[in-house]
Amino acid sequence: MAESFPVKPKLKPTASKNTLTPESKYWKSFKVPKEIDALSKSSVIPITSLSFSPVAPHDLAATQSTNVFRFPGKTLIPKSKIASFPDTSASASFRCDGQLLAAGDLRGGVHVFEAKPTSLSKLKDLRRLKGHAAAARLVRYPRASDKFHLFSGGDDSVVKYWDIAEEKCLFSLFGHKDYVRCGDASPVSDEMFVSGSYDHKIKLWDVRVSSVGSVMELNHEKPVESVIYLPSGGLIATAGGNFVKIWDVIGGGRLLYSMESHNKTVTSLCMGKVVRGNGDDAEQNRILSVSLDGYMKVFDYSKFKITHSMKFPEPLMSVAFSPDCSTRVIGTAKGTMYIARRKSKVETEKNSLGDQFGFGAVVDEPQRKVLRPSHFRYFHRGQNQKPLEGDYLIKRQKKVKLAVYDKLLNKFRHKEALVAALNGKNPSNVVAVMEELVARKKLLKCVSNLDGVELGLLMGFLQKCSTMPRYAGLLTKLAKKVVEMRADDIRSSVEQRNHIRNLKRDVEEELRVQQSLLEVQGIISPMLRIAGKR
Amino acid sequence: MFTGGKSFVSSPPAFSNDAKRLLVCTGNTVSIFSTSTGLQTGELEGHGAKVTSVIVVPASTPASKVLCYCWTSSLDGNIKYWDFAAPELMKTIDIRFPIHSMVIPSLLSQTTESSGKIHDVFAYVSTEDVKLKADKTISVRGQIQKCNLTKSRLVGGLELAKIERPGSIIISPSGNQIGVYEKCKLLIWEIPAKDLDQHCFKKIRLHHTKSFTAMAFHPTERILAAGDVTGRILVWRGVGRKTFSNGKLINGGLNEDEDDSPGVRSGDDADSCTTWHWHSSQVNVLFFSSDGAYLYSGGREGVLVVWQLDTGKKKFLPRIGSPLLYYINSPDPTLSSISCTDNRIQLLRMPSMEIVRSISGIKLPSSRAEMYDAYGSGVVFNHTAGLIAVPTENYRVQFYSLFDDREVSEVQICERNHHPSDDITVKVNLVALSQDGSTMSTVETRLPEEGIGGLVSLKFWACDSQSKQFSLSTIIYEPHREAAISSIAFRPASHMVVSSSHGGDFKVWVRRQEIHPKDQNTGWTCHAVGSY
Repeated sequence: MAESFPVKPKLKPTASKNTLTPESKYWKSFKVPKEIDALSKSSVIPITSLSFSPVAPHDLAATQSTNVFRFPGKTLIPKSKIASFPDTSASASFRCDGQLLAAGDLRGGVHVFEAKPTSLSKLKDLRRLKGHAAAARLVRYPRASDKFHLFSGGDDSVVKYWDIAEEKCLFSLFGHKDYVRCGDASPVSDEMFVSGSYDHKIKLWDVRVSSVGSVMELNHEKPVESVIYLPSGGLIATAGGNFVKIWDVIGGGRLLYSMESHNKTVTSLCMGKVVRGNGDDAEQNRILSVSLDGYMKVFDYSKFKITHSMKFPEPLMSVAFSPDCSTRVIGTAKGTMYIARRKSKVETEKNSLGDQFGFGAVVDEPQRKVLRPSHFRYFHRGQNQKPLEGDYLIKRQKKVKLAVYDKLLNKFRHKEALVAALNGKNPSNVVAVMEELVARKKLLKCVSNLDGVELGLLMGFLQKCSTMPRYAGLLTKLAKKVVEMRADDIRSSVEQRNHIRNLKRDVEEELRVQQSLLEVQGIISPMLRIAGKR
Repeated sequence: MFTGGKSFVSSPPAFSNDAKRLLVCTGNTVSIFSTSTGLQTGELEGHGAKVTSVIVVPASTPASKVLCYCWTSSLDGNIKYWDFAAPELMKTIDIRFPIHSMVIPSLLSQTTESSGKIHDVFAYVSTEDVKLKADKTISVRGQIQKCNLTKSRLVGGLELAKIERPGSIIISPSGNQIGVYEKCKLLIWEIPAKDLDQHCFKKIRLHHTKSFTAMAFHPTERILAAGDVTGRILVWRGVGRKTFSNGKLINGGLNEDEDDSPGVRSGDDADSCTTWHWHSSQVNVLFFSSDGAYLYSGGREGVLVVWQLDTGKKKFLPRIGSPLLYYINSPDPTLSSISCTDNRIQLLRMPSMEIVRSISGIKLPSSRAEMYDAYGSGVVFNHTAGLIAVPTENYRVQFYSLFDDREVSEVQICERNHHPSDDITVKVNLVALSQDGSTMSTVETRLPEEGIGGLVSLKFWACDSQSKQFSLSTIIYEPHREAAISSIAFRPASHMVVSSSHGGDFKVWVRRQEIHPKDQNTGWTCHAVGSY
C-alpha cells in the first residue's frame, strides 16, 4: 500500500535571510541597550566627533554644540557635561592614559581639561592653547606614550605642535592651502602624525624633522574629511568625497585601493574589530566608514572587500568603536546618537560562577516507592525509558497528519474540502487545495455548487489574495471565472455586491501598481542596455 | 542478445503447493519466482506462443506437497505437463486450436478417490476456431471444448458452447462446476464426479442487464458472485438447485413461486440475488475466501474490497496504485497475491492485508497514457549502471536493471495520491539522467482545468551514493513561465542541465556549488537564459 500524501502548498523559495555571513551576524549582534534608547535623542545639533578613551573602561567623549559630554564606559549612562566652550566644540581627543581630554572650538582655541572632573573643579580648562586664527577642527594627542604634546589643525590651514605644560606652540607646520579638518597620530610613533585638508592633500609630518616641512604628501583628489592610521602604522585610510582610499605610507605613499561604495560624502572613519571565537585570527581589523547617505560600511582592507553595510535613517557625521570591541557609536547630523553594544562575555562568566555554588549542596533524593500492580501508574511504567546502547529499536510508524480538508478530499467531498480550507487561516493551504481540485478537474464544479455564505467566503479570499504575486497565476483566472459563473447570484445579494466592489477596488489598485512598475521598467531598461554593452 | 521485460500479468499466476513459489505466465514461458525473496528462480520454456494458463497439480496428501507438477496451455494449441522443480517437460498434447483458458476440474475433485482405478483426466478449454477466422461473417469464434488429457485428444463431437470471443473459464473451488461469462449472461455447467468421455452436461444460464466482467464460485455452497462493467457485484444464492439436484424436486412447488426468489430474473435458476455496489467502474477481480465467509473484489480503482458475505460489511486495502487484474490465494492461508495492470504482482499477508513484497516487471506506459502525451521522453538509459528510468502512471519513475531484468527502485516524483480511474491530469513528462547517474531531473505537468491552474515544475534529484536512493534537491515552478518544457538534457561530465520550452527560450541550470564552491546549499539555480 502506497503511503497517503496530504495536500501540501508549493514550496517557497528560501529567503536570503539564511545567507547571513558570520561577519554580518557579528555586526548585527550590536544592539541598542534598552536603558540608552530613551536618552539618545536630545537635540538637533550635529555630533561633530566621538572618541573612546584608550584605557578601560573606555569612556566615551562626544562633542556636540558648545559642549563635550562624557559617557561612562561600563554603562554609557548617565552622560555628563565635562566642558563648555564659547563656541562650537570639535575633535575631542583622549590622552594616552585617558586622564586628560583635549578639544578644539570654532574660534581657534584648543582646550585641555580633565576627562573625569570632580565636582570641585567645575568644567574648568586646565590649559587653553591659543594660536589658531580660525576654527581649530583637529586636535589630537599622540597615541603611543607622549603625555606632554599635542597637535592641532585649523581653518587657517596651519598645523601646530604644542607643548601642553607651557601652553606654547613649539612649531607651526605650513604647507596646506585650505582648511585642515582631520588628522591622526601614528599608533606606533609619538613623533609621526598625519593631517588632511580641503586642498585634497594629506600630509605626513615628523616632528623630528619639522624644518623640512611635510615628509610625504598624498593627493586624495577630493576635500579630505577624515584620515586614520591603520593599526600597523604603515597604512593610512583617507575619506573624502564619496570614496575611501587606502595608502601604503611605508612603501612611498602608494595607493592600494579606492573603495567607492558610498553615495554621498564620507564623513568619518574609524577602526573596528571583528571578534570571532578564539585562535590566531580571532580578531580581525576592519575600517568602519559613515557617510551622509546614512550608510555605515564595514571594509575588510586585507581583502579589499565590503563585508557589511547598515542603513540609518539620518545623515551620519561621526563614528567610534570601543577598543574592547563592545560598543559602537554613531553620531548623526541631527543630533541622534546610535549607541549599540554587544553582549559581553562578562555576563556569561557571572552565570558560570553562579553555577558553582550548587556543588556543595547535598541533595536528598526522596526514596522511590516501588510500584505495585494495585497502582494506576504501574501500568504506565517504563514509557519514558531511554533505549540502551545495544538495543534494537523498532520505531513506531509515523502517522501522516491529515488536515480536515485532506480527510474530505480523501472522501471525494470536494466542495466541503474547499470550504474547510477557506475557513482556515492559511492562504497557501487554500491555494494548495484548489490546485488539487484542478488536478481532479473538480474546481469549477465546486465553485458552481457553493451556496451564498460559502461564495462570500470565496469572494473574500479572492479579494484578499488574488493580487498576491505568488497566487496570482491561479487566482486571477479563477476570480474571473467565478464572476462569470455566479453573476446572477452576485447580482441578487447585497453582501456579494459588497465583495465584488472590494474586489474591483483591489484590482484597480493592482492595475495602478502594475502601471507604475511598467513605467519604472521603462526608465531602467535603457540603462540596463547601456550597462550591458559596456 | 538477450531479451527481458516481459509482462507478468497477461494471465493469472499460480502458487506451488508449498506456497514458496509463484508460477507466472510471462509470454512464451512460465517464470518461477520465490515468494520469500521476490526473485526469479527458474523458467519453463517450450511453448511457441503466449502461455494463457498455468495449473499446479494440487497435493492430495501432505506427503505429496513436495510434488511440483503443473499443466500449462498456450495460444500455440499445446497443453504441456511439467515438473517445475527440475524443470522438465513431461508431456505435450497438441489440440491445434489456440487455447485461451483451461481448467481441469478432476484435479480438484479426485482427492477422495479410494479405489486404485485411475480415471482419465479431463480438461475444459476455451479455444478459438482459427478456421473461421478468415470468414468475417461469422462472429462466433470461441468454443468451450473438453479434452482428455490422459489419452491426449479432444473429446470429439462434444462442444459445450459456442461463444463470441474466447474468454476465460472459471472453475469452482470444489471442481464440480465451471462457468463462463459472455456479455449479459453467465453459463454454468455441472461436472459430475465421475467424468467420462461422453457425458451429458446440465447447464443453467443467469441473466443481467449489464455486461459481466468477472465471476466467482463459492467454495462450499451454491453461491455465485459476478461483477459487471458498472461496478455492481451480484450475488446469487441457491444457484441451480432445480437443475443440478438430480431431477428430484423435493419441494419444487414452493420454489417455482416467483415471489420466493427476490432479485432473480424470471427463468433463472436461483433462490435469491443481491446487489452490492461500491466500485465506481468495472469489477475485474472476484474471489471467495477459502472458508467462503468473505468475498474479495477489485477493479479499476486500485482498491481491494473485502465483503463479509452474510452482512455485506466491507473492509478496504486502498492505494494499491493501479487497476487490479487477478487475485489468487495460495495453499498457505497467510499468503495471497494480486496482479495489477502496471505489471506488478503484490504478495499480501492475508488476514491483515499488508503488502509484503512485490514482484515487478517493467512498467511500460499504457496506451491510455500515450493518448494524453503529446511530448514525452519515454525511457532514459543510464550507461554506467545499466539502468533505465521509466516514468510510470502513478507519478513515479521506475529504475529497471537491464542486465538483471528486474526492478531496482522507484522514486515518487510527485507527492500526490494516484487514482487509477481518474483522467490523467498530472503527468511526469520528461526524465533525464546525468551521465554518471548521480543526478536526475524530471518535468511534471499539471493540466489546467478550463485554462485555470496549469503548472509545470522542474525538479532536480540527487542520488545518495550509499543508499542509491534519489532525494529531491530543487523544485522550480514554472521554469519557463507558462510554457511547457519540450526537452531537457544533461551536459556530459558536468553539473549542468539545459531545458528548452515551447515558448521559444532555453535555460541553463547549474548546481549552485559550481558557482560558489563554498556554498552549503546544493540546490540548482538558473545560470543563463537564451531564446530563439
